[in-house]
Amino acid sequence: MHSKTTLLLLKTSTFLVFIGRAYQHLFWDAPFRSLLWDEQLLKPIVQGLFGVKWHSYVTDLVIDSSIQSIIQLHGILYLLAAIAVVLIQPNSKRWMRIVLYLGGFNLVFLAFLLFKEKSYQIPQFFEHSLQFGVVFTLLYYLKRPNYSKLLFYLKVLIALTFFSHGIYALGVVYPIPSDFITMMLNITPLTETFVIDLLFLIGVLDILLAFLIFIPKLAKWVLLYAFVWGSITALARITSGLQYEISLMILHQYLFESLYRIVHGLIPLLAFLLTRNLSSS
Amino acid sequence: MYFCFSVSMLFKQKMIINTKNILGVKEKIKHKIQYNLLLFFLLIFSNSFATSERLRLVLTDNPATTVMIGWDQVSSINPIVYYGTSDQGTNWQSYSFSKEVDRVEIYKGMNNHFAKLTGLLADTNYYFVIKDEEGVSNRFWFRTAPSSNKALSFIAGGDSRNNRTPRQNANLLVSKFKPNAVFFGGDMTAGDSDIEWIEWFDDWQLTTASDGRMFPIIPARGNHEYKNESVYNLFNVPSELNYYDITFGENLFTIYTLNTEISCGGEQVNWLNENLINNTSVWKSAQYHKPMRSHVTNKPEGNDQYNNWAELFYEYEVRLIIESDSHDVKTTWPIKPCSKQADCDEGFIRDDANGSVYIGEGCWGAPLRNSDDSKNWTRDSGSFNQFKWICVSEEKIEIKTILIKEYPFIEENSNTYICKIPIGVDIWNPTNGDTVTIAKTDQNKPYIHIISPTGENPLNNEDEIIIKAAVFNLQSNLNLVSFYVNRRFIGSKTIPPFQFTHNFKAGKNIISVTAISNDNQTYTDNVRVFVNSKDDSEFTIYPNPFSGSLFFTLPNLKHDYWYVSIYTLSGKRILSERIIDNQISTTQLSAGTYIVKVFNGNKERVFTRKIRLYN
Repeated sequence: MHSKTTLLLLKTSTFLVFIGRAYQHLFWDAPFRSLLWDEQLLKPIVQGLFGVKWHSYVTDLVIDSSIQSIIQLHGILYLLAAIAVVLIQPNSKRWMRIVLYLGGFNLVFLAFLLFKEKSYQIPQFFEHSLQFGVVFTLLYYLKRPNYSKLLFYLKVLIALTFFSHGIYALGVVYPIPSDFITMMLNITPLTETFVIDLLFLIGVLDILLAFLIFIPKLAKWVLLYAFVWGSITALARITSGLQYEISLMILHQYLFESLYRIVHGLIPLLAFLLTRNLSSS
Repeated sequence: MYFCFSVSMLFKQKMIINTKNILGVKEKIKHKIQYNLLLFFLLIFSNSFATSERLRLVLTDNPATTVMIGWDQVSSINPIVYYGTSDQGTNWQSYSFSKEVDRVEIYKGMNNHFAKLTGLLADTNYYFVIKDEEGVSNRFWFRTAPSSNKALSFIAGGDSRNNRTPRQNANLLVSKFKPNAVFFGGDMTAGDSDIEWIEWFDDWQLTTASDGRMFPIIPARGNHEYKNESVYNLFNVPSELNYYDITFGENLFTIYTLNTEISCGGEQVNWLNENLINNTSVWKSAQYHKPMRSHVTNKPEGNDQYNNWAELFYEYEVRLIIESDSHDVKTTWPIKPCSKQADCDEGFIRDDANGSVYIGEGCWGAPLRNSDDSKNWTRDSGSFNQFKWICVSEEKIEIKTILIKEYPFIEENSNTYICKIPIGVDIWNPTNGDTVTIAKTDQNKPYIHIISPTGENPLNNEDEIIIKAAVFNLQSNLNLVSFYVNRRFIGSKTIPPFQFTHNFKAGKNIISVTAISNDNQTYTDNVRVFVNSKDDSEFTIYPNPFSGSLFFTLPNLKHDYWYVSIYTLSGKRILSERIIDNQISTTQLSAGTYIVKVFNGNKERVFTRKIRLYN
């Protein structure tokens, strides 16, 4: 497979993750308060180190505004990282890599905050593997394009992401996220009971997929399925939103959620192409 | 029990040592007797109290006849609730009735026990204790709700996480207000962890009054309750999916508790629809966690809730909706869903006759967010810890917002008064007043509303100003709509469009529109408008162009002052002061063109001019 295709798919995926997250941080919210408002964790620091009463700290609206500014600063970082993704080449200057590393580590931190916000549910962290992992795989590829290793890393990221989503869709260990059900009810004419049963099946398939992509004879077809299903679920956010009404407000609220999830389809596509290329060569 | 035994053993050990070392045989016997007496009293003491803690009363059924008692059975076994209508203190044998536990759920670090008391008499005090193998609890009591449509009072709020101080203060206020029930809109804790829930229920004991009276809770699930089980297992609510309804009185007031953490459509909306169709309550209300239209900018809009519930609420006259989550404060005017109408703001428009009032949004004991996303139908908004005090009668609902803080003194309500604000408590008093009133809509009344002019801005005097009105209640069999300006009749219409053109005099004008139905029901709407004077020969401003100072010739009004405001052409006000000796200094202005507005103290006379400043 042409190296340009690989680079294009990696760059497009990474760009969309950064641009989607930038939009989210600049205009909406991010779970920084799950850390900054954690009374058990931060009260000793706020009161002990800074001498500010906890009640004063969490009811100070200036501090709330500052937290929002911090979120927006992260949005600017993601925006810069998105620009760097467009410009970066194998022989680009070091600062571009640094920006990408910063963006990537911030995405890991964001996944941690989401994990913390959801009461430390482990799949909540790993379901973002493709989103933060694609940054580091791009950086790896720019440095030393070893296709076999690249494919392996991509498969690991795909497995972690789909496995985590599958665990939620099962609804056995953790409750099914209401979003999953709502989107299916909005987009399809199915009943809620049927949707829950269907999600169980989808969850099983996602979990199986996480293992089957490592079996050489099956990998190609499983990755093809992952590309299709990952793309559908990414676009489901905006499609579901548009069922409420077709308006700029809906695009404003839901489009960025689709953008940073397109990586769930594009990277399986890349892995599929790499697998096909490697097996034919 | 273990503690008392340990203390007694230590004491015994010490006594034996002392006796051996210092005293003779007689002293030994004396101290042995004293030890046994001590042990006796300690054992009596330890056996006085059952090990039932973190009590909660929950309403799961008809509140006139049924109350659910929940608690954490910390140790011991076989707890039984003994209860009756006369106060027997902790003398459990004297209570008329007993109830064994219906359900046990070991959850969130607690051994949750639930006993549902049924067949109770309405509007009656019930006293109870919980006895187990180790002893008897303190005596508590509650009052069942009336079965008639007597007036009731409620406290409504949500979000008590991450800020324990106001949470405790709010809980204490519950014990002073003494509501018929507390509607709690979710997000009790931050992390849904064992230790947080234990602390939450420890703090909930502050809602118990000093005389042992407890107040029931009707809880909803928030996004920080990570599973439906968190609410179901800790409160034993009637539905595992955390949506249910409770009706008070004969049919006075229904509260629908809904769940925004599952799909708002699907089976939940089907259930809601079916229930609303058959509900004949005088008042219907709803509580749920995430708002349809948050008043905090960065929070997402609740489109799922809006699309599934908003139209139902309007169609079936759910007149009061309680929302949480955003950690700010809001009250709205009565509103209804809309789409492409003028003044439709984020899917809602005012409907004073038939709309629903939305209140909220959390802050029982939570960190605060800036309330920075008001809509054109927002009545008032703010950011502070609060809950709502709701008084319901057949004629109306009145809502006040209570400030949560540490009060130096509060005189608590008596157990017989309803809807009283305890002395010493502060009520929020924003621009539009401290009380939101929802009055009963008489379907036979022709509710007319003046659409324009709105009175918000002065009107420029023109030959024709159009007065437009609309009747919202189309079932009223409208007969006539009459128009008045300053109490003078100017015309009437029998069919829409209801509008009239009128020449207004300069100054203050009062427009009234009265609609009369075929059966002589009437309704009137008023609006006050100011009209700028066209013929303002009494007023001059000079020189124009000007430099340095501006001079005015003004009408001679007794006991009044004149003021001037100067604006740039883009509308920015750059100067505002009182006119003294018919002049003002303008040395601070730079060259350019400005709009000058001159007005008297009550703005009855307003003059506007465009002037130019040269350097």
